[in-house]
Amino acid sequence: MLHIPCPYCGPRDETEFHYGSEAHVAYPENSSNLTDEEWAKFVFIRSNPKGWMAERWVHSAGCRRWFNVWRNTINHEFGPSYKPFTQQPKSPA
Amino acid sequence: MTVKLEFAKSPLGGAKFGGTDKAVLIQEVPFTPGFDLRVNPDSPAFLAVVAALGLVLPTTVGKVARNNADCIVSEGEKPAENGISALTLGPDWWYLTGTADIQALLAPVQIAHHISLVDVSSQRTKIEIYGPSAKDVLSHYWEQDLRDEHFPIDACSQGLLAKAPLIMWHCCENCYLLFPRASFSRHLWTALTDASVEYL
Amino acid sequence: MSTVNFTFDGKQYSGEKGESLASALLRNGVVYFTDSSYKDRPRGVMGLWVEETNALVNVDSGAGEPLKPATTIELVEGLVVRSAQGVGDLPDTRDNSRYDKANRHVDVLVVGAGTSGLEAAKKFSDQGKSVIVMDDKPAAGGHLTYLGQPVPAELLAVLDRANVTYLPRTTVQGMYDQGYSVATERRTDHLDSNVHTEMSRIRTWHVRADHTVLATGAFQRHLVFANNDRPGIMLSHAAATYVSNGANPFNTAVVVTVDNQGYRDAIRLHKAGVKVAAVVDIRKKVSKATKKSSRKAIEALGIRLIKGATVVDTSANLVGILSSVTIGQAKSDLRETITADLLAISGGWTPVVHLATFIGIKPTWSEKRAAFVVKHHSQFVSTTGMLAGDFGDDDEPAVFFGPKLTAEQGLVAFVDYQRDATYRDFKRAIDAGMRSIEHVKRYTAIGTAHDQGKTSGTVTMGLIGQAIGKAPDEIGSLTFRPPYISIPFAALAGRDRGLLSDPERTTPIHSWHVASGAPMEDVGQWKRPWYFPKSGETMHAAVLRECAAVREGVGVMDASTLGKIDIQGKDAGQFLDMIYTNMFSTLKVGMSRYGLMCGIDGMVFDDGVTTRISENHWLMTTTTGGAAKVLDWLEEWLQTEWPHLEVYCTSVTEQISTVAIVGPKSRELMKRLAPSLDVSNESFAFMENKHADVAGVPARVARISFSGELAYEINVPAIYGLHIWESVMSQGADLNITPYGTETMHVLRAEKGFVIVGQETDGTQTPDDLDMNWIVSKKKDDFIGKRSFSRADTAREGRHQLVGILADDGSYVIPEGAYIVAGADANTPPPVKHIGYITSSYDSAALGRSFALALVANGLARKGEKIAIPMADRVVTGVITDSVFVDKENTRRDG
Repeated sequence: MLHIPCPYCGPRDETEFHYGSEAHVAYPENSSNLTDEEWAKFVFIRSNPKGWMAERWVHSAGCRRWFNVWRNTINHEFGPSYKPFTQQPKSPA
Repeated sequence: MTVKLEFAKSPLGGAKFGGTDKAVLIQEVPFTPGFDLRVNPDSPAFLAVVAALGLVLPTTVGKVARNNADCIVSEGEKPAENGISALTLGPDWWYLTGTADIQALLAPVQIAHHISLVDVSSQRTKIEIYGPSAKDVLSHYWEQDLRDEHFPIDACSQGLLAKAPLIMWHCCENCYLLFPRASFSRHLWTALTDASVEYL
Repeated sequence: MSTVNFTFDGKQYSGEKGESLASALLRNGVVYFTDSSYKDRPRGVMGLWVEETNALVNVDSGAGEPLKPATTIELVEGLVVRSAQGVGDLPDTRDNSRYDKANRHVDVLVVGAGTSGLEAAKKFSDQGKSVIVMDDKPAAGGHLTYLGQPVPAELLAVLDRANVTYLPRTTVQGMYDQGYSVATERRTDHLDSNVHTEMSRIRTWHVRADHTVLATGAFQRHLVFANNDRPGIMLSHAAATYVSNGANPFNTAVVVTVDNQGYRDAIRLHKAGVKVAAVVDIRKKVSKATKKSSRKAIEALGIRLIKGATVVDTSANLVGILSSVTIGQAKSDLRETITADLLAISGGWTPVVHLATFIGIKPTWSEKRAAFVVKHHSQFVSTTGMLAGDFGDDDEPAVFFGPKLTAEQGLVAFVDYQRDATYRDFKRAIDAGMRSIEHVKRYTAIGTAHDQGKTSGTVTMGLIGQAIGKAPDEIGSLTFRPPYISIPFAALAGRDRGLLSDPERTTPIHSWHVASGAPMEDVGQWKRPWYFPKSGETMHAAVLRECAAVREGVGVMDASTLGKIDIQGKDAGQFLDMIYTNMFSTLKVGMSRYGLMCGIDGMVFDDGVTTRISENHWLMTTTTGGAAKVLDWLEEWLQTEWPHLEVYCTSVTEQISTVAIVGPKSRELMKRLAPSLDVSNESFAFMENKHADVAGVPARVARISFSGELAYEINVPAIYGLHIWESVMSQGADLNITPYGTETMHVLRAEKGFVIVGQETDGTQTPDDLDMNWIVSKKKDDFIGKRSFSRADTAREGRHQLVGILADDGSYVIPEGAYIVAGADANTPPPVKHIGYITSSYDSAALGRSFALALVANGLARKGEKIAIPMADRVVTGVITDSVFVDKENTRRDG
């Protein structure tokens, strides 16, 4: 079971969280001006890298905050977590 | 909010298990007033709240601050008046409980500032678990670290106990207060009493 | 030591309390234990502990457990076991034992209470760290007990320290990422049966340690030669230990060794009174130290030493028990047969690398130790002792796994005893081109039995190396998976059984529902009354009666489970405009509005009624199952996209209890419950909210209807929920107030064509697909999902759309989920292309017949079209209709 570092509450068991997919995929402004391809890219396409990835989690059973965290998709190692709209720490890679 | 006792029913009907002379006592403390407060700690609204309550709200998640608020009141005694405890649940989220008229204290702040104060007295019930084995009973279900150096007195945390969401407050030695959502309270009672039998 | 009685294969024996069953059987002279799984070969005890491959038993006494190594069962009075020939079975009786789970956070977890584990515990304890020592044996000491040596008292004392917790009989079963380990503690099997019955039999520990020290020690391994599996052939440290403890059925032993351990065990056998006929050492030359410590020592006792030789074959007596051992020189054809009833093998040590490999650490081959070892130190894990290659005294092992074998010998030279896998099987894998241990394992089944290759793993890798001329570490590496030893499912379940397997959520009115005899329906974790049968009434009859009562009189439903979210802040209206497809910011204070939420993909994912309590204060309701998901969703947008919005959301699902009174007579009942409230249609309109005292408690009453009938929802703080319900029942008695459950609610809403998210939808329906275009705002610049409505796929022709279906036979209720084909295809043999499926289907009191809702391709344009539904025993025909069956003009909702 993963131990996920909530930036507010510290490391907690995975059961307290819900996953929110890749971080830094912002809701497009003026979505009506986007082409179908551009819109589809926002809705459906994620980078899904092998290795370090910045992703979003929400501490549902705890402080209820959404946050970002680096995670290595190969071995589940966690890097630094950080609050939305704050400076993204460097990839631990 | 005053409770109209003749019409009210607490989720566990004031149930009690074990005893103060035993390794563990578990009991429901019915009709505990409770409020969810949301306010930005970096805003003037926060300062107004602190002034109105006369209590400095902690800004570190998991800390509890209290005024005139003993966590446990012995049978037959009355709790101190104007008591307030503030459990920090999130960076802009507190659970307020106590004998003070919290709604009245914060009413002026609500008009002047962007805060949210929601009566959740019925949303949660309060279960006290006390005794030398209290921590052992909790650790059967609670995945978080209960060691005193990591969860000291007047620390609080939200999490899952027997898969039921609740707030846990380490209020004094060998004593924990649980604030589960009312719908889970029967389940939680079954779980806690089942885990206690070995210690009684 | 006290004497206890036990039963093995129906026969009574006695032994010493606490000794292992294997030991007790040897003490009673039982050497021939059972036959092997596949080849019916006679077998006896091989080992000392969980590495045991042969002596498996089914335990019938106590809780009962299949396939346990006799070496790991502690003798208690009344133990009843049967030998297991590779197949386990359980007693028929129910296991009433308790099982539980416990979480523990600790600075340091030490796995293994041998010398190295105890030293590690001492080191960290000295530093002031909290330490847990978990050891799977009944007593500490580990390898020293294999050597027959006492554990130093100062090390044992570490276990009594205040910052050290020692858990014996506790097996670490799995190790995972970030210092997370799972262990099982056997707590009662070794106790007399009259102990505390409330004590859990097995406790599953979930440990989070900042650092874990693996001090898991090593097992001795066997050699592969012809007839290496007879009763009387044992690992030397096992034989020496049993015999030294007085469990000695043997007269004459031959010790075959590749290292110095064989010498130590030969000496212990000799001292315990076994005649050691010879020590046969594959090593011709050894170091001076070994000469002095080992060879001189046995010569001094008069034990014969045969150098540069090993065992090549054995013989058995008529029963199948070992009778003689054939020794051969490694470099010549010279052979000698020695009469013996014990062959003690020291084939080298195999460190227990399992836990390390669980977390991806690769063992490395040490030629010097003739073993795979794990030398590792990182933030979370370090290794020590034999696992790390520290074997204490220099055993000087030869890298040797067995003599050269003829094809014939290979048929009876066992690599994996439990699988009866022989050298011949192994050779076939090699000859077929397998080189990796993973391939050989799967081809031969070696290492896949109950013991998971604890002793055969390294032997197999060594043999592959010998066969293809490579070092064992060039073959691959050993990978194990949790659990380390088999665990009863009950232990994994812990307390999560029966009622506790999943939380049951109940409303404040639950006790009334239960007392009334209503069967419950599971709605997520909620328990909701399904219907309220009168005595002797069927479900069908009850539901028809409840439906009729609501349409003609007055019914009452507990709607407390609906998700509720309190939303406050000056930007809440603007926020809701983005969240819902329709407009909310224009809603007047005191009014409610139904809304639909979509994901960014434009698919409906929740719905509900939201009320504007005051200018900046709203109350949203969600579906019963969607509350948590919706709250996460709202917070996601507020926190990660629109933090500038002044909006706070708070869950109040359990704060408010909702009792809905529904039906033409509900106005009369409402008047009685709240005399101060003007309930006339003029002053209390549809979708309006009023605050009033209801039955003496403060309430918010809302005119919301999920059935199309005149209805009032009474919302009170949940502590008054039961009081309100009981008041409704007593005040409504003469109106024949009828409580109804989820089934009636479903029928009533379906008659009106109201969808249930999750029943009419499966995450692929847009509002258009549900014929709910009316709820999609054309005025708003944007809302979540809007852009996706114009995607090619969502805008295309032929999407599944919500329609009604009437079977031609109105007495037939079409099963939900049934596929629909075009009417023209009614008699076409399969395969037939389906055009949709039934989502809801009921018998209706109001219609006097059955009806259904369905999703049908292009359905809205196909109303009136004939359809067919092929069932197993017949083809049901019917017609596509509008999805609203009752009161299309909404005349009933105002009473």
